Amino acid sequence: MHVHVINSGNRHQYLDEIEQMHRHRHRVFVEMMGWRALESPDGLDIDQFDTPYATYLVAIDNGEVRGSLRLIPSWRPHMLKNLFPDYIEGEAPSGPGVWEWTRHAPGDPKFSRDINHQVRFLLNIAVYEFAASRGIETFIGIADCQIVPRMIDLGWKVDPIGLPVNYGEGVGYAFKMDVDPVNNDRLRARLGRHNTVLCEMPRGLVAEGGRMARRAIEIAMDLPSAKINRAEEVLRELATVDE
Amino acid sequence: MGDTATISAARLIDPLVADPVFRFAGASQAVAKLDRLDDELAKVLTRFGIDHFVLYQATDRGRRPTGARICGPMHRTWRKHYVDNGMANYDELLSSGLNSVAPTTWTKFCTERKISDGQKLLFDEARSFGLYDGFYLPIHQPDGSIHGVSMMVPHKLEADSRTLAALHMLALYYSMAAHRLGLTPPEPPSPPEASKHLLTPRQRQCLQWVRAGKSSWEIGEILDLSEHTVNEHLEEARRRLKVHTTTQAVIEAALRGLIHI
Repeated sequence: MHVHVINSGNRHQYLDEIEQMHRHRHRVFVEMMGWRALESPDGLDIDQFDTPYATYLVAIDNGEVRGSLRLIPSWRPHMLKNLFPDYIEGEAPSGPGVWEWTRHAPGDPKFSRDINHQVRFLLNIAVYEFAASRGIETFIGIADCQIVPRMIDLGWKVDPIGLPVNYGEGVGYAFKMDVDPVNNDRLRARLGRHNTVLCEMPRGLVAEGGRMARRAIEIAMDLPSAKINRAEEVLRELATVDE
Repeated sequence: MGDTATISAARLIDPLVADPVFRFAGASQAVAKLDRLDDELAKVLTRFGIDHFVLYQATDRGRRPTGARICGPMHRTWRKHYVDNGMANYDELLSSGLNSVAPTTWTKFCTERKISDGQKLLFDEARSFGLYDGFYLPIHQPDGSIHGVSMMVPHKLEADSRTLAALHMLALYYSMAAHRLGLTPPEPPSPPEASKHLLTPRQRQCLQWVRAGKSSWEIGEILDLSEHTVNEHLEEARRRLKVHTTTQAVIEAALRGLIHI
């Protein structure tokens, strides 16, 4: 299983997975967590912040979406700034190093325990890898009080920037979390996974070519460096098919 | 999504109230010792006129009630009364955390549900010790165990939404820090049939804590026993396991499946 970066540049390579993601989000937030305000007759959770400015980190297991989260740069409209400014005491952190983390939807009771365990860790490791790629220093967002002990357990330092607020289906508050790359090593050790988990497809590939390249990259990512010849073989094979 | 009344109330929060709460939240994640954590919380709670607080392990990870005090410089005489009478075992406030994550107060708890005569008596007794009302928050930890944090006052708790929100946040971070500092009692496994009666539950509990690296004094603090009593339990465990040192006893007990490795 890998976590894919999906954004406006490469989204046409992932049309099926994007629909799966919105369906999975609906299952998690409406059916499991009971957020009725997000209920939609088509069974897809899509809101006003699902725009070309959003980046999704999506755990995909052989074409199946197992979990996802949404990241929005703080200089674009985002939930804390545009929908819930009252959640924050004073000003929310913003600037080039600050992104908002929302719609965190790991796993599903329908999946096996092992898959859910992996997804939980993979999504968090992927966040660190993505943060490194974009120079992100701080994440902001709103967390339900029940979820915070799990975030702490995953090694995040969760600093409140607002007091708890009753939002209807629970009590949550605005937070900021500084990115400490050391924790990524701890998460990797806990999961027992040491290679890269984040896969970012280049823009400009047509859908079919993208799918094929993605397969090749995933195979290459899973190969230990000692077997790099094998990766080259796979790539050569795929290249031949393409011609 | 969003309760406007609550939001606008939260908006009014005096930064003088919110800032120390945020500072505690930050400090609690870095603090290295439980008594230091208690000091930090005591300092903030003074601002709310709260002198007494306590953190109980309401249930272990298997959701069985334990009622072990983890930390909190609680009212000494009340604590002794509470422990001596095993009140944690039937404290309905503590067990309410099993199916709730919502904060409450003693007053609210008594008016919102039908409480037993025993529970009424428990609250009445607390009042006779000068603990009139309290804020209570159950916290479900990722390992499945449940903490209960109580903050007590000698009068009716004037619980406006700003104060409640602040206390909620303080209790949450207090519990998470205590959990991180490793004072969630490791519960020994249920013993295999063959060696079931070899050690008493208390002896196994003490050995499990020795395995976790705690001194007899620390174990006493955690289990609400005197250091002397803990040493007696350990001595008896060594005798029953026919070994000379406590280290040997830990190994022997682990091999027989009486404690976790």
